[in-house]
Amino acid sequence: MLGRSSREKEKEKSNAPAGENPEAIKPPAGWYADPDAANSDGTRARWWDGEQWTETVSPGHTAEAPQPAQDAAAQPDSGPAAAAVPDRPAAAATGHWIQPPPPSQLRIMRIQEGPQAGETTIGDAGVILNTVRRVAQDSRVYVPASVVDVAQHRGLTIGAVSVRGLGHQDFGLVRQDAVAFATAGNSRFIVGTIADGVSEAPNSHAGADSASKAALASVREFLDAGTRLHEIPWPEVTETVRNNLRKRAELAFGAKLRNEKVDDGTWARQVGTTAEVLIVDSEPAHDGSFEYVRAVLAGDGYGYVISPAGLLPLGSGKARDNDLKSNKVLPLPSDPGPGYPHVQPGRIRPGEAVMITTDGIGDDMADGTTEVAGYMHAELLQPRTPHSLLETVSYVAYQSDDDRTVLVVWA
Amino acid sequence: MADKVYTATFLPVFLVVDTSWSMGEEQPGSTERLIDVANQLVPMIVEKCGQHPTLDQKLRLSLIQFSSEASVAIPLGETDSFRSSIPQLQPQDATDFGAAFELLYTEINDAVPSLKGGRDDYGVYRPTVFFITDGEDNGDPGRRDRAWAALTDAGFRFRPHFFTFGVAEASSKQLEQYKSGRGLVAVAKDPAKAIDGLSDVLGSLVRSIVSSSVGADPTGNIELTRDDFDPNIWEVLD
Repeated sequence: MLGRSSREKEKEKSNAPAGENPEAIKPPAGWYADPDAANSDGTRARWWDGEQWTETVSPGHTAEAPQPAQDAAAQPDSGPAAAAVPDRPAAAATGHWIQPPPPSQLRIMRIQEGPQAGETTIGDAGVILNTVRRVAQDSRVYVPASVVDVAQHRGLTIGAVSVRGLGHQDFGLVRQDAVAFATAGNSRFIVGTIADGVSEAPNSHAGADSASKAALASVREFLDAGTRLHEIPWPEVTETVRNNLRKRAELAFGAKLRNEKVDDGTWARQVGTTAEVLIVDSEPAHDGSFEYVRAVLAGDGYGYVISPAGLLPLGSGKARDNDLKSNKVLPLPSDPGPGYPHVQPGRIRPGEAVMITTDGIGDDMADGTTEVAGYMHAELLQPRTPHSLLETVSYVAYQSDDDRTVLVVWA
Repeated sequence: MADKVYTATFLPVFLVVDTSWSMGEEQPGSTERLIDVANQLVPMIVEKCGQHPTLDQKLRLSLIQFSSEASVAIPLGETDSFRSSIPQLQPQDATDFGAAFELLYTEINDAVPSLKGGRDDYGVYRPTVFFITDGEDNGDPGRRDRAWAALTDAGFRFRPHFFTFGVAEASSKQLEQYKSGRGLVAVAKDPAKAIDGLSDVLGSLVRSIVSSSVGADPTGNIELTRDDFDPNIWEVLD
């Protein structure tokens, strides 16, 4: 944090984002290129609260001047026209607006027979259609294969769904994803969390459950105490989640490991999980938009903004290994490593939605150009009922066998 | 944050089996031959794939036989392409590791990237090789060493995880160097129990392939560790 120093005074003298006169119509709140002289290379962003510059900076956050979606405008054939998303602060977008395949180009069919009869298949699903739903044998406690929840809150709609992947059904394993949501900050904010237990950890379903709830509780505590949306100390949230995971693992497995040297790696091999948070402010800005913050505490989840004009991928933490596939994640409670927590602010407008999802769907949607991306975009443009949301995420596609979890907020 | 993702990823596994004359000899106390046991391997994997479609959709299998020469018995592909006519290996000639390593390099280099079918959104896991032999290499040591160096060179994009299993006359001294990546060398201690040893290791091998797919978000790593081997039967070098 900077003090109110000569640097602050310098900022006060400086113009509002994009050279707007602060006394004239001011740009909406958002992350913009830091006008501070120390940011001469333009790699740092500073939060503009709609009225003035704040103390909150985001090192390494690629910020741009607030103007219509710059990436989209630069690629008119691959994204929504700039006019379709007026005044969008481009700072929020780390990716490019994508026009996913329209429904008319999707190979969608209702499965007529076999163990997946009644579900929707996207493209040529192949032998995965023959997967049998086997009873989960790997857990002493019952873990529901599917959970779904939809609720309205102050003009926003929240959808949460988590389903057991076909791979887990095939091998009799429980669902290892988790999802949770609640309101916070005197009901002003919607807070949702998702977690994806890593498959190598035999009790990662317990880890994912713990992480999603601990992250939710921690963020709620900060917001309830009056912490501003952009001042949530995400490293502290991560630490709370890690501590909870350690306790959960010690409670369940500590006795077994009494004589072993126990560290975070030991616990991660038992309950390792990713964790991600989405917060949406239900108080609309003066332009009617709703502010959100996505925070990836650890792992390889995906985020997207869904708009009638297109799909904005918010990125993933999926690792690569010299072009060979790698599913490396550093699961909590291990230190997730540099780059985490990864915090992305942004805005959605009425008619848009923001979603976070585990890689069971994220790998299928990928960069937004796939058939599954087109399908999900079409399906999630409007708020869904619980049963239709469950049906939406139960599609069958080639090699798509991981657990699937979505937390979506529609404006 | 990396953005490159794959909508499908394949797990290439190469089974490289010694088919020299000794594999066709009846073992002490048994009417069974090592080649008969080795011939059970592919059907065992195919059976597992039939039971688990999510494994079947990812696994891509190849069978390479070698004696004085090496040849591809099953080209790298999905089990559906050979399920109805699994080739039976026949014993012949001597044992030349160099021939096996050379062909393996060529097959990995050509067949593994071709699994992507030209699609940017298809990926491959690092290949895994299971090398099974019952005896001493009779080939040209220079050729063998050059081929092994090429196969395991850090600059080889698809250098495999290499597991070696030795039974009968194979010794740990001869085989100890033939491991790479997450691989290991396991040698049966008692040459007189080669049939039991090979049967035992095939079970472990199949379980490790299945395990690599269990959990729906597999690491793509076929895990076989010292703990998977009975210390009374196996000497493990990892």
